[in-house]
Amino acid sequence: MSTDKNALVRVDGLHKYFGNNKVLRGITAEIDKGEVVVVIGPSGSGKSTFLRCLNLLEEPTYGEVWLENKLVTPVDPYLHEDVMELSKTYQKLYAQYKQDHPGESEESTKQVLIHKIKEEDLLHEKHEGKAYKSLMKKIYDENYVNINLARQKIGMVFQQFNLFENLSIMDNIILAPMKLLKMSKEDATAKAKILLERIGLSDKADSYPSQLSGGQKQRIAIIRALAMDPDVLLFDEPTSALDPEMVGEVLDVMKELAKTGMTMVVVTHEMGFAKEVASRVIFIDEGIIKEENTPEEFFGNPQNPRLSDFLSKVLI
Amino acid sequence: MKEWFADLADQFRLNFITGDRWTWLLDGFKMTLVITFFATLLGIAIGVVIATIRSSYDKNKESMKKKGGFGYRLLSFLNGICGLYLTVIRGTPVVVQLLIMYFIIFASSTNSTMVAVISFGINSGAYVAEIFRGGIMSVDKGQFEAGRSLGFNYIQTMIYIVIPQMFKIVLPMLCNEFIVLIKETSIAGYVGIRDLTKAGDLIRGRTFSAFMPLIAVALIYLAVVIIFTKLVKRLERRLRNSEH
Repeated sequence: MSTDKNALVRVDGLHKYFGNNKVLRGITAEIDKGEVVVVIGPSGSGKSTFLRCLNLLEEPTYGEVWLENKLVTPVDPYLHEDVMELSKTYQKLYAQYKQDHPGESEESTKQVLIHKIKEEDLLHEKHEGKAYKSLMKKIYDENYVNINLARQKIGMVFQQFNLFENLSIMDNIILAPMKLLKMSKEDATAKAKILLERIGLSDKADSYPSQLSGGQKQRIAIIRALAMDPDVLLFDEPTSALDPEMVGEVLDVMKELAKTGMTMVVVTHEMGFAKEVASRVIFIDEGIIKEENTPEEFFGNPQNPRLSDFLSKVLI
Repeated sequence: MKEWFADLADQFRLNFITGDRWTWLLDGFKMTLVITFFATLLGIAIGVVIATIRSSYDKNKESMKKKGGFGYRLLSFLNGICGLYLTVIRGTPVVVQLLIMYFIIFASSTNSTMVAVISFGINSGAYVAEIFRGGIMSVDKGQFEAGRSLGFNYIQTMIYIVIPQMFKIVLPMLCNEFIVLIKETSIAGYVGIRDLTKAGDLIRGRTFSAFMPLIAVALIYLAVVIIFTKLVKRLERRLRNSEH
């Protein structure tokens, strides 16, 4: 279990399987307040899935996601040694092990057994006894928060914009603040106007999404997320669906946001953006984090051979 | 020629004017509209419920299966019931359903209009459910995800975002269902309801001339259907124009 209590987002032992396809195979990461974390990787590496697991648009197969020190996934017993120690499986193994290795110290016994349980996936929820269950429940009760509440504080921007097609731009922006934050229509509208002005699209308030260009839609999508005053913004390849001449306007909005200190996690292929704005760059490949560093080190001195290879292909 | 016209006028008088028989047709037409209208409402209500259950099940079964529990069992049970309903209703003739309703299930009821409304409503519900489900599925998945990512729960996302978009897609199809139902109710005479068709048939039985009353009935159906089809077309055009 990680110890950084200030992390806004924390994922631990994250696995995501789609059937037999193991897209994520154990990712542990933290995002602190004010950080701009850029996630890059080859297509199919799991980087978008990783991002979508952060706000549970995809439910992790194993592992825990913590948002502002609140748990949003079920408790994963493999991440809690104290839980594992209480399990019947552990106690059985313990008795066995003590017989076979009489001289072994308590501490190393514990290490061996916990490692074995984790590796071989030995826990069976139903057969682990009362003490195990009550501790699981205790951890859950103390830390769990409903994902719908947590999501209000995590904005997300999609590759395909996903503006609500049936609503005007203004209604797109004020819907969530009005319904979820119980803002009055006047307040929400006033706020939306300020946001629209910030991105220079005040004149589009009464337009509908289908009347806007891709770049405009994406900028609206960003302020729709901002209208909820999120603590973190997730960007899922925000410029990949745009015509080249519109990429700049969206990146400019994102850069400006980064300057205001907004915490951002950005999955992108825009290496220029990563170099310029990121405080940390993560390289995901084959479902695990292969490298994680400051942009200077990451691009200037890549350690992982897969990363060097990848960079040599994308940075021409 | 002159005789032929005179004969026609006589026929007309005999079938519609004598004994105010035209009021039979009018009453029958009213009955047809009443049955169709309430059956459509019932069908929409049933359709919404079933489409919601079935698409919720499709969307959530993966994640709910893992957690298990009462919610999942209830939903898969309801989904099973809905599946059975759709199979039975769509796999048997509507006349048979009406007869079963009238002579078996509501055998003790004397209100045959209500029985007809329920029968046609239940029948229509099966088709409307599939219309709605198709509508829900044709709303882009991204719309749903965008709603969820803002913090709306499943039901709120459905209400604020998915269903309004779905309605726009299915409205023309719903109107078509109404048109189909108007014609389908013509079998209500089987259980002694005096709808439009039955009224025409009664006149025929009284006057022993089939031409006038049956052609009149056919023309009335045709007129109603043509009018409604026109309205649907106009509606479709309006919806297309306001496509945002």
